[in-house]
Amino acid sequence: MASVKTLCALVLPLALAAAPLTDEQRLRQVESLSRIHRTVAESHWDRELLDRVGWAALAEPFRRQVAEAADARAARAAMREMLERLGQSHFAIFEDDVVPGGTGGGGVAGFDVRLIEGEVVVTSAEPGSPVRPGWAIRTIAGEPLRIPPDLDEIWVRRAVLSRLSGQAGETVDVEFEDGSGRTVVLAVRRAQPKGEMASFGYLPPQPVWVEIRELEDRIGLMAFNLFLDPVRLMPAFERALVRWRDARGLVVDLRGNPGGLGAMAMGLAGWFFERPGISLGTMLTRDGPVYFRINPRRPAFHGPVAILIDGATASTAEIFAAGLRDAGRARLFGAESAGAALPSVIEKLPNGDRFQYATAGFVRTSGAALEGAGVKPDVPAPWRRADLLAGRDAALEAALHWLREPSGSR
Amino acid sequence: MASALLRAVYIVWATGLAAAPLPPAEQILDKFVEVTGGQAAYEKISTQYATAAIEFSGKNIAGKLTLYQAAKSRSYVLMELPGVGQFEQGTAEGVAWERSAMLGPRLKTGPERAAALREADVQSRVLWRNHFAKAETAGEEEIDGRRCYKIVLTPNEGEAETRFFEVSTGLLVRIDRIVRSQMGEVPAQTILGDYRPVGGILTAHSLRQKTMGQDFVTTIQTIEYNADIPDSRFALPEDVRALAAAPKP
Repeated sequence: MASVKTLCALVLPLALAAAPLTDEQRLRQVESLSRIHRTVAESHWDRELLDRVGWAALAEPFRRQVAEAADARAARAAMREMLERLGQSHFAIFEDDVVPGGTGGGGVAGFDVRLIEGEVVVTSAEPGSPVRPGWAIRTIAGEPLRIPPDLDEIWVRRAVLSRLSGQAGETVDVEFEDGSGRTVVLAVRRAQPKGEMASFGYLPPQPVWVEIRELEDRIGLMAFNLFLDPVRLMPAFERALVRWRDARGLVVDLRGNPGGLGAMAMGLAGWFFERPGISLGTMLTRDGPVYFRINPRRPAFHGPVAILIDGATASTAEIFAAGLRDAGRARLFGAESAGAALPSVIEKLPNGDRFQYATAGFVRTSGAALEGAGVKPDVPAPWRRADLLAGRDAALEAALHWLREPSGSR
Repeated sequence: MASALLRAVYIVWATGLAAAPLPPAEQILDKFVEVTGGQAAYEKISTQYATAAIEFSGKNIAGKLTLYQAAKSRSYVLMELPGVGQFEQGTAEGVAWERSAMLGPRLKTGPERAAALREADVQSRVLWRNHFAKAETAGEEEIDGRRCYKIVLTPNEGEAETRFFEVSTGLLVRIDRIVRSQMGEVPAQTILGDYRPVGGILTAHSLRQKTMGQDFVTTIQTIEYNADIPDSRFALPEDVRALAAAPKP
């Protein structure tokens, strides 16, 4: 898991001045630290882990750090450092409305990136963008992009997209290296992100998009960036799956999907099963196991299902992919997922920040944990810069190849 | 002689210190009916309509709930959560169901179905004997500084639940039970409060449910007994009816 310091080094290369805390603000910071500590102590499902990291003894030293913090950022850093001792995903502090990897001032650069062979490489670009898949980013706003070696792909992507985002309509200077080793400098104009804004609880509003289209050979494709906005997405899934019920196959592209509402995974999975009782995995809570069982939907989609995953496929998206694979209903293509899959909730802290904390562990039907392990593809087809420069999508190609095989040999 | 006297004194003293025998569960349950309006008032209830605000405490998630109940264990509950959609559940014709755009339709079976039908009985407060095979007083406990009788009720089908009645008022203040669904069994605690008279019945207007470490608060906004509710309100939705008619696996 990425450390706070390495992540900050990538996201915030410039030291920004922060206002010193008033006595009242300092009190709120200390209260927030206490709330975080108590919440984890009372809700974490793995008491052995709490003992192992000495959670009970962490309150006092970190309370002192927060009480002596020069400013809000330093106080927040101390709280994050305490949470980091757990070594688990889904324990985070968001600064008011700022979500990691979010759009900041509302504008995005219009292309996506991944960490590929040690470089941050463009994997897709919106129509009309001068940026090309396969280009590697060298600098953003004049700052060289240095990738801390211990940072996972999912965090690199979030951090880089966060640095690229800003006020819509403004430009950000980005230096790329194209496929021939030539340097390309562009003033990339930030635009409104595609999709519609959606939020849930204290999760800050985020753009949610869904792409549903038919590929050649009667194969359907569904891609979406978040398991959020079920009021819009679930009927869209239903319409597509009913329309495609006699299709040759289906591709569900979850690359870059960081998850969202866990129940949406169960709901979407319902379209792929005839019989009840199938579980996508098990939540391990303090009160006992809770099974992610699905309700079969009618008419069910009977065709083969290929799911595309990569290192930025996380949480609910991993649960969905692993669950369908383990139930024998899907084959996975791409690269190993993020291994960041813990059910969580978000609360507001006395200092105004939002505190995300996991309330349960999660294991696959085999009993194997997703957290820290991820799910491996059946057919490895990781992102490669050469493929992208050649206009190829290896994971999609592998999935289509499999779906086109005669059903008897599949 | 002295020892006999001491023994006698000890017996008297010991008897004086021993707790008063606990009232039988039936008496406590019947007292609840009496203090909240009396059997005659309850027997007049044929339907119930209520609206409520619901909130997941501290999560900035809130919505509204509408409930309809009528004789023959018919019920329909609609929960609306902005950004997530509608969740419906109901009971009719012996079928207990739930559905949502997110999760699809589902029939409740076994003890889960039994619990849904039990809770849908608009007369369940007075007719508790119809639903529970056994009721036992299990002791006294202090809840939020109030002395309460602890009653264990074993239903005809499903796990026992524990109810706590305040000794001084006879009011039901807490229910502990195991909530079943297809996702498993989780303990849930419901704290009842803010009793107010409605149509001659003292009715709890605040219900705080705690389960899996999270709080879910229901605040009744309106409640009406013997409201005119059309039968169609309880009709099984088409997809639920199809599930109910389908051959069982």
